[in-house]
Amino acid sequence: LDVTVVVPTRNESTNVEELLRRLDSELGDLDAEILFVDDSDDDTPSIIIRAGADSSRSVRLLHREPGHRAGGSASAVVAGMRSARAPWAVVLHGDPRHPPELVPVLLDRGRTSGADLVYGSRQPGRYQTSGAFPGRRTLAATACATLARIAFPGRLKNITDPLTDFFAVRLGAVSLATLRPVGHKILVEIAARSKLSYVMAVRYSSGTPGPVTGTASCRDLFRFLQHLLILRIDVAGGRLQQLARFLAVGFSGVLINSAALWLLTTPWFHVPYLLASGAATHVAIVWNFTLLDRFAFRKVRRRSFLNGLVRFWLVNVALLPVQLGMLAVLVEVWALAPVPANVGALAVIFAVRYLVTLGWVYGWRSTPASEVVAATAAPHILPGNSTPAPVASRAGRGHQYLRRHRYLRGDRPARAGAPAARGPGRYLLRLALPPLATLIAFPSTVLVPLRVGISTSALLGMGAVGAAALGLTAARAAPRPGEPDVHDRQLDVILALPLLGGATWLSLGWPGTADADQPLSNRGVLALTLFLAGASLLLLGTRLAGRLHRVLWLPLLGLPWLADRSGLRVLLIALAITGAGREMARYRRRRRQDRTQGARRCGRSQPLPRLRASAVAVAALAMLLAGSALAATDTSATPAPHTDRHPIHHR
Amino acid sequence: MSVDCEVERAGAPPLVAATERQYLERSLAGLRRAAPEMSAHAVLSRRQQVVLGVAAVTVLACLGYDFLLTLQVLVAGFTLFYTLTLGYRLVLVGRGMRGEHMVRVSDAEARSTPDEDLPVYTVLVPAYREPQVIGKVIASITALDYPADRLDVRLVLEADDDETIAAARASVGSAPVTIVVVPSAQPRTKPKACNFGLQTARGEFVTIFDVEDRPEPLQLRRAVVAMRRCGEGYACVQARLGYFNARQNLITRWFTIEYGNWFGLLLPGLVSVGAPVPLGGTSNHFRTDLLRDLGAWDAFNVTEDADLGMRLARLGYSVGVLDSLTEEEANCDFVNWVKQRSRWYKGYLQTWLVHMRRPVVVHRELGWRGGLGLHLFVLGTPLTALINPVFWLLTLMWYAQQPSWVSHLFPPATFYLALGCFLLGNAAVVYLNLVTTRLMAQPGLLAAAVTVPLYWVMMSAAAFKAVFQLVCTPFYWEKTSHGLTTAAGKPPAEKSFVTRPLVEKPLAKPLAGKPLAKPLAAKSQGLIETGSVDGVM
Repeated sequence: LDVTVVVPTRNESTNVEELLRRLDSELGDLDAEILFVDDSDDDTPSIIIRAGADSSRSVRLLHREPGHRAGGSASAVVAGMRSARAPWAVVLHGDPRHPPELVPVLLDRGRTSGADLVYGSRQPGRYQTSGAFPGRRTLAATACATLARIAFPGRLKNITDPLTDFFAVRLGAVSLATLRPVGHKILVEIAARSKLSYVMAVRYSSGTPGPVTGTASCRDLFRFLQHLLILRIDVAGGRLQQLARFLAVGFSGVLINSAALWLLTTPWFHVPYLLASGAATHVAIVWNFTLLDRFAFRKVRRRSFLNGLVRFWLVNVALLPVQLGMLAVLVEVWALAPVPANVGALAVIFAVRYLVTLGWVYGWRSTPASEVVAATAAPHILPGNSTPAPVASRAGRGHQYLRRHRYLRGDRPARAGAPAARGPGRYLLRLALPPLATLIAFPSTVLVPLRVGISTSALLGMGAVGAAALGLTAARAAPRPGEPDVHDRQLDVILALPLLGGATWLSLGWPGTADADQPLSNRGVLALTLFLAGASLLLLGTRLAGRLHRVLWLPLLGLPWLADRSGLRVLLIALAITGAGREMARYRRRRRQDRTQGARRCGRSQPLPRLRASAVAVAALAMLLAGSALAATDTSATPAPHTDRHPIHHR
Repeated sequence: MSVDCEVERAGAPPLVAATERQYLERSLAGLRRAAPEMSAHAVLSRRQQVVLGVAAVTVLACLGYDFLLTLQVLVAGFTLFYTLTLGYRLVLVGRGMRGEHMVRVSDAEARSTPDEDLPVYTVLVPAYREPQVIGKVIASITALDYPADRLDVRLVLEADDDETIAAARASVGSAPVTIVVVPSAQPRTKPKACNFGLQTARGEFVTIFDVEDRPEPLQLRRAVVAMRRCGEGYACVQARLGYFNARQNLITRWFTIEYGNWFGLLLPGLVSVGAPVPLGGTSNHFRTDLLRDLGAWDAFNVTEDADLGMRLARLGYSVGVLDSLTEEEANCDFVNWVKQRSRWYKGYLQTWLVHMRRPVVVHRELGWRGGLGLHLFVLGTPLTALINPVFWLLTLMWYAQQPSWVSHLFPPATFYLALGCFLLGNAAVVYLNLVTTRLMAQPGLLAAAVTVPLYWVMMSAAAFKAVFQLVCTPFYWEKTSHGLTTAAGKPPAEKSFVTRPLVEKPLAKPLAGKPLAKPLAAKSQGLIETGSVDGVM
């Protein structure tokens, strides 16, 4: 069986036969069953039975007696979906808003693209509304849709028309047992309660007037709002419960940690307390994860135990220095008492740990990727105004991207949740991320000129270098023609790790610190440069970072070592500026060529995986805190004149 | 060997479904069923898992017992391995420079075989998602100097790759080319496709070319002469590989030097010391029957060619290096290069692990020379790339900061060995690259030969990627994109690899230490032309 067509009906004896006939002819060779879920009080059931007997297809009827109709048509749909026998269900109401011609189209899109849900979205503005307030229904519908999307910013983010009730759904992707629908709007319910990975919209136009899948009366409107509220509380309730369990597990972890520490430090084992503390922490990590995996995150588990454990361990290990650094900052810089500071740090770390565990370890994904396509097959059949809607090009590109990566990753299904649409704004944001991360990680080094005040000539030089950086970035951000669109995330990480490690080593792993008189140190600038390069590799990918390599070297112009050699510095700045100018000229030439050839180039790029962004964020945060902690201790300590010389070991 | 009817010819019915299934099953699991211990379908055997686990526990325990001493021993061990690998390479190059162990067939000799004496020759061309390049292969095939009625060319394509199939159909025309479509199945690797194509092969000999390859026109004739001259004991001759876009950028230059070094010096060196030869990916010419009997390629190994070379050696067969050049497209893009190289390294590690499942047996089969080759060449190549950055980092840290723990890691003996490697070894390898450019008669590559340490950094990145993938996705075939070159395909400067014969003596015991190769030693005596350099200039 390919598909079950679920048709909720209520007192529709006049059009059931016609609907069945059209459905039958439109479904063609598909192995489909048609399931009527009937809430009627008239003779509709008998008509359905008679028409079904004439049909060659399997037609079933689910008649709901008056006492069992709670929840309205939405619950009828759910009842139909629960009794469906095919892997796919198409929900179709027996009114003119839902052309049966589109049923095979929806199904086909869903099955070929791997989407979980394909909904039909009627082109607005293609018909005349009638009545005293022509815009009223549209307005109400828009308001409802907006409200729904505000209530579920994640799960409905990419669903442009959450009020539609014409859709095809892969039943395996919907948690049917949890659905508790009210009113007419079943799609909101499904999208909010299920984890859909990929959603597709099929736009169609129909000339038949009718409400824009909108609410008809004030009563319906209130019902919708009530439903939305209940839904929101329910879904959040699950989250709260999870949070509570997370907290409980965390407390049990503290107990286990203490017990292990006590056991290890007893005369029996006699392990030094620091070593014992490390071991106890690890025992607690394993304990916590085992409980979380079985208890708090049981339903959303997507990785193997071992994989999850490794990630959880990484989260904990990464957060430990952050916690200590934060504590140091609170105590030393803000002069808080250690105990409240510790409580505050623990609370923040707890929140961060919960979010990271939810997001990174358990692949928290509530935003389905989506795309919009036009129903190319349907319009010519439809009566009336039937211009095909234009394919939304940005989303189309996203889909091409998904396709391409599905192939590149060796037939594995595409990672759902990849951004479906990327515009130039997003691209610019991406480009801005590495410098931002660097700024966060090295605030003192970057802001030092502001702190110490700056001479006009230095300001001019800095301005020139900044302009050169912007020019180079603009010229080299887009790929060269003919450049292969081959990316490799593993390589990005492999190349970035030594650079970030080098930056860490330069800024933290050095005995002694910078001179108090010298605001900038050679080592600091070097560390900043390395960090910028590493962050670029992680956030932008090797290819883009490689194209921008000239920009990545520019911070080296701030080396104090160069300050004593002003001639060399001027020469290097001049080189940077001429380089930028040359690149810009080349870029403009290429643009002109492209325009004459009619080719439009857009910034092809890989998506920014959440993992790398979070890795860089954690690194930046850790460095910030550790750096400030060090800085705080430095200023309090008396400056020792010779501490920044390397201790030389004679062998 | 008449299986014509089962292959999709133009207009003929496609492969019968049952036969197709059988072929597919055999090409996937043929080797695995025939000799499970030879197939890489499991990365580690049960015994290896145990040994690895015990080793890890031992190292951890030692670290706990005496942290510093254990680290010292580890560092010393790696340094020693590194030194041995380096020394082995130098020995191989020294042997390879003598030019004795390359099978040479002169143009006249190649042409002298009358057409009716030539056997049917199967050429397998596996391709996946290469619609732009597929047309070029037809051109290179038609350029081959071999009678068309004895040429059985098979384009092996994947069923889900409609674009390439359509492009191939469009460009085949009247060329003697058959399109074989492999049904979709995982793992999607080149060896699986090759195995599938092999089962439909009609030829007495079979060879593989990649889509973008440009084999030298006389290569098939030369291979026939060479195989007949060498006798039954030679399962395969491997032609040299070179690049037609050597001058495109720095990466292709480095790559060209590396290939020249590899196929011109190292592989002949391996033949000379009696070590197994890891075959190159293309232009290896086999006896079809023998290859089928051996179970052909391992569909689970991502360098199935190197693995096959090891397997041939273990079974007592020899591999010759044929002095005939196939030009490939050098990878000109960094990311693409790393992908390709990481696949090679992963495959070498896979191969080493597969053949180390029963170390004693393997050493008995290969002899100590062969075993040395297996460790120092097949394992040594990826492992040195892995060790390199660690030692570089230590060096860098030492010069920057002189932390005392670094000095503790290197007790004097280790230190001087490592220092020797660092200074003399690296200098020797750079010098060796210079020599290679000289032998290839390509002075334009001189700058690349000097800057080759940067290339090692790229290798190290690839090696780490390889290890990561070996653990996470061992059978994933990291596809290399072709057709990125802008070079219009100038004829190359070099025609043959000029090595001056230093010592003129016949192969004394070419197969020493290979107990299974009984009939071969006598036959091959004097059959390989030693030291002649015809075809030069």
